[in-house]
Amino acid sequence: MQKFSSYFLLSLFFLFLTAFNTFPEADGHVYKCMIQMTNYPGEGAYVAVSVLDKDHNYLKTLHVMGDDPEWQEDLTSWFGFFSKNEHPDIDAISGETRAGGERIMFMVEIEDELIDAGNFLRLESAVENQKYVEDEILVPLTSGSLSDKIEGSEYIRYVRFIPAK
Amino acid sequence: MKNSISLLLLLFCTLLAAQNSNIFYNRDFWKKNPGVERIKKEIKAGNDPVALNPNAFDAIVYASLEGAPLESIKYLLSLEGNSVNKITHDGRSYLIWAAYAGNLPLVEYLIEKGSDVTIEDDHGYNALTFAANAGQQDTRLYDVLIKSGIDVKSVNRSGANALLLVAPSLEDDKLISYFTSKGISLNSTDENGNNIFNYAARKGNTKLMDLLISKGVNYKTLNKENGNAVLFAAMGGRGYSNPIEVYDYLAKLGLQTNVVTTSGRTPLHYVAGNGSSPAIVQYFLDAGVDPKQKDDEGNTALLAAARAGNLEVVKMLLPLAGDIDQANKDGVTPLAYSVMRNNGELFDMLIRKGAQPNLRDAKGNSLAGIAFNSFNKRNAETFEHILGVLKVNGADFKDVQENGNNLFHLAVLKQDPYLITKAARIGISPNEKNNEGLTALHLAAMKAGNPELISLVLNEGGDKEIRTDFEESAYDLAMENEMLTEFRNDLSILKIN
Repeated sequence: MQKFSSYFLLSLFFLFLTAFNTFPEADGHVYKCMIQMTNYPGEGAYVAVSVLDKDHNYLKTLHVMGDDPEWQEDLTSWFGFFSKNEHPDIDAISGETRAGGERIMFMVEIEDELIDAGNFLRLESAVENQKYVEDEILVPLTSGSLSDKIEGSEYIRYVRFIPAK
Repeated sequence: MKNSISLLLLLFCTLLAAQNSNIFYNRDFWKKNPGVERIKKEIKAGNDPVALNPNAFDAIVYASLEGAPLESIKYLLSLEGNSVNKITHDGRSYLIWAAYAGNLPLVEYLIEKGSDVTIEDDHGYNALTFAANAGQQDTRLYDVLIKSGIDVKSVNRSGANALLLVAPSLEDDKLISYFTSKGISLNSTDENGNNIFNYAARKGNTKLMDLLISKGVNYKTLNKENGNAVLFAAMGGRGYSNPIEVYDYLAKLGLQTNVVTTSGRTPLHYVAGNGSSPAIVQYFLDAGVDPKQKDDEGNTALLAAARAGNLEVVKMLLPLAGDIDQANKDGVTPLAYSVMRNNGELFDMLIRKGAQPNLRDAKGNSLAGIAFNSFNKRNAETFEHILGVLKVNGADFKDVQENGNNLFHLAVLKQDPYLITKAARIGISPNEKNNEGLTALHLAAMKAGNPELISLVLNEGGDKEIRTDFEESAYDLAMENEMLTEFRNDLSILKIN
């Protein structure tokens, strides 16, 4: 019995640790992000969703659509940042792509301190045999922009963020 | 109204037909060395000298590959919509194609016209490395490219330089002397630690391998994954696999035939899947290579053979490979590969041997879902046969697939009228929502390139009153669809009365 409870406490302890490792920022908020693609012809788009600072330096990768490293490399600016830096698990924040006309939803975590702090939200995109678009979307990261429909310029028609319940 | 739809449809189909029959996509046309006048005539006849086909090839790429007259290519380049830095298939510029084809006058012309020599394709090849990879032997070609500013030491995304890439095609040491005199070391390796000997082995170039040994190249070093030249010979090249003599040659040099890399790959993984004969598969089995060996993606030689549709090799490996339903990390079984390939013969054989028809892949797709996703109307008969067998084996076609899609969603995503009708006939509803809150009709409104597809889904029971989780109707979605801009009047079929 005693053995059982010490195991129990130990696992509780690890559970506690894990929980805090996953969410190091206590003031982070989770958003549901919906990306609606334009009805362009061709393959599924690779898209990196990032937070940049006021000088357009990368601060954080929120999500990457497309999990093949070979094609992630086509997201030129993001990949330049990503390949030079130590990163948490990229697999955890990358996933499926979508082709023309389709939409996708995924969760992203944005710390409150990044919002309304002079930072930018960038979505960059690349499609096989078609051009790479560095600033598919580049807008100030404000609470206002997060509650609007944000328009894209090439493969993305618009993006919406909805606070997750 | 109905007339105008048919007229538009007719127009659309004609456009589509014109696109498919564009004479400039026909290699034989360019082989006949058409001159400028002939090209002008074909443009007048409606052939598009600028448009990319679905694989992103265009007139100039085909003309360059087939060695059309330089004057003809110059004329094509002068047309609006073509420019020296246009990007085509796999992200390649015309310069990269011209270098690949060894077309020196065209390479010189493109550089003179300001072609950007720094452009790399999707695999990190520039004009120089792509020419080397194609086996181009003319040093004048490399002279011109290097003089234009390309670094002779440039590498592709695997870190392979021109000397390594050209090695499989070398007959003598002319290019070895050339590239080493330009500063590439004979002992250079790619980023996985493969030297020139491994590259020579890929195409079984024993003459070159002899030469390299005489020059002191180390032929026994293992690469960073503990792979040797035997593994490279087993890989072969594009559409090329080595004969047994090459493996004998390497064995006589003392290289281990039974080799396993740190990522768990053996020569069997390669020869089972690249069209090598059953005799070669047997050669590696006799050498003791473990047919049950999994690589770090969970793939085995059996899965490689099934993925390649190699019936004979699958038959050979089945009694040795263990579970007939072994799956890789994506949850794909040999039977699933046969469905992906629409290979009825392989499918039937596996079913006869007891393969399970009701397993799902790691993303939740059933074999019926895979059959829908892999549908090609040329193989409609095999498709029907496979669905029939699945049905007999108790498959529930109403099961939800990856991303909450049902077979109707998949049919619409493929934009295929045959599949849409099929989904309806087997009782799948067009009104279920997937994980993104979309019905098949919503998807049709978002993806369709013409109103016909939408009206087909409506006719099969699509409910236009269902809204997305963002309160959009199918009509709203169709009105946003860029490809339907010219059909907006026809979209009233989606209006909610």
